Amino acid sequence: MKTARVILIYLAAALAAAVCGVLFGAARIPLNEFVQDGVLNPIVELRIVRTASAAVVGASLAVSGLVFQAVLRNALAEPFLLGVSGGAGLGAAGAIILGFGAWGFMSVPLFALLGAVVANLLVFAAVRKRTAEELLLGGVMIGTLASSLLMVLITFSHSHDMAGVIWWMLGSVQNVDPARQLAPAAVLLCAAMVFLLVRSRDIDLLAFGPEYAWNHGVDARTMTVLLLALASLLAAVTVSMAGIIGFCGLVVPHVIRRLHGGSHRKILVPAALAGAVFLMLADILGRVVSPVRELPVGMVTAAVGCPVFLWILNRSRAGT
Amino acid sequence: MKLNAEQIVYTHPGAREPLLNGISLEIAPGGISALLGRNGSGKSTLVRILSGYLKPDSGSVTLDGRPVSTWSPAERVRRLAVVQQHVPVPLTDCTVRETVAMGLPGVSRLSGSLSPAQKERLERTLELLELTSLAGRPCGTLSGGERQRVFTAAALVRSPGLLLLDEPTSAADPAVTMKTVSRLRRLAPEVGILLVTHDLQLALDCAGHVMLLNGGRIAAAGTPAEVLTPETLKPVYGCAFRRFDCGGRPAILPE
Repeated sequence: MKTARVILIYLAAALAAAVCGVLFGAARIPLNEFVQDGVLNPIVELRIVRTASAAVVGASLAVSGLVFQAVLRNALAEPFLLGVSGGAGLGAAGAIILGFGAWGFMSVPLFALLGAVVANLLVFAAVRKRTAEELLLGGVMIGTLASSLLMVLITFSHSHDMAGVIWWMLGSVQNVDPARQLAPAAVLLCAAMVFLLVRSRDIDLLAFGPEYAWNHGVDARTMTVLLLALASLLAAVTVSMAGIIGFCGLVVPHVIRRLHGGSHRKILVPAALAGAVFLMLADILGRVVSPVRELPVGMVTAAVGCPVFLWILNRSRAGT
Repeated sequence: MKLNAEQIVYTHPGAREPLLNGISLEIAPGGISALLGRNGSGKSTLVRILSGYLKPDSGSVTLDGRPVSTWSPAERVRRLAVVQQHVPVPLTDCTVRETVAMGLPGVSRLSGSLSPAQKERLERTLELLELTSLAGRPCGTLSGGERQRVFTAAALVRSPGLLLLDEPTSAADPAVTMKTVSRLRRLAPEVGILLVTHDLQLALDCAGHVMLLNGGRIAAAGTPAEVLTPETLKPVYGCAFRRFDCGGRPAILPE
């Protein structure tokens, strides 16, 4: 199928998911009450922000995962691999438990972002050779260290703080600030997409290994660090917005590769749109299935994504 | 166009003794040079140093008189192409045509579309390597020998002046090896080729100059008739060889 047609199909799916995200939720709002006296219904407004956040977070995670898997040549690579989740968890828990949450609504996301970026920088600083393999191992080590420090914080925290940390770590797109979180994340995603599309040949070549990429004119070491840093930044920003949402960044790239294969120039945009669709649908499901107490979106992504992925895996194997 | 290595010394990280100790060589268009040596003698490492991928402890590698590391990546690969021995299969399974097209210079970064001249060059290279019938197949479904041809095509598609081939026939059957010999002979007048191989017969059949790597040094260098002799090979490989005439064609085998 032509790339343009594939993109159009995913774009239509994303628009349909976005419309559903605004229409459906815990409360039933008739269409004629969406706008009253020229003012948008506040619940509808919240749904728009929430749906847009799910789209940006899903797209960012899928693109980040795609880059990680290609550059590290590892099917299990995911966006939080280079210490991002551990660092963000530690930052957010620190903000909640040490009382910085009282500084304002943005303090927890800011500390999470700070923790993710610091953990990521530590990985790059701690690994001397900065090959894909060593960065991966460094990321696992720093991530484990951050997670153990997080456990120490949780052990010495009060029960209500602990509940706050755990709820944050489950991941949710319901409390995203449109101006201070959503807009910058959307700008970062667009800029990253342009950069990655321009550099898609380099990603294709790095997927054959750094030496192969070097032999075809790619500065493999610099590009590996640059691509992993960008993918980690995308992940760090999503964590600061919505907590740790697993599965999306791991599975969506696999599904897109299996369905469409080929060069990253062809699959980057479909992966971003599929990630957006996947998280918007997971968010809708989380609030519709359990309206009183919403299901965490990270749980929905795993519960729905796992069987879908296994189906696609078996279907594509049967075809080969 | 010329690739020169002068007094290359290289030690693997953590190793005490240098793997390569004072290697000098020159590759220029107009001939095929073969590099032979035992497993682990440093042949592939030398190719990585010549391509600029690895930095030597001391010594220099120059491409057209300039250190290879000072060339921009795009300018370097337009002059010097490398076909490495092992290439991992990526998760994203590109087709043969897409993989070979990655070697083309000057392709639009955003659209990836090829000009008519680039398309023609791509098709010509696929034809040269007998890959036209496989062009739509994903690389992951190919055999080792077919994949080696794909990577050779990706290196040749930009018409380099110099070509470093690291065991290009290690996964090829005898028929493919013979075709590789005839292709290399056809390329040789315009392209300088360094052929790294364990196949003594391949070196004997197509090289004009042979270098024997042993103990980190070039133990012998010269024409195949001078180097590929039982006397020269025995101290390197530790076994006896017999050279004989095979229907007017020289042949050499271990005894």
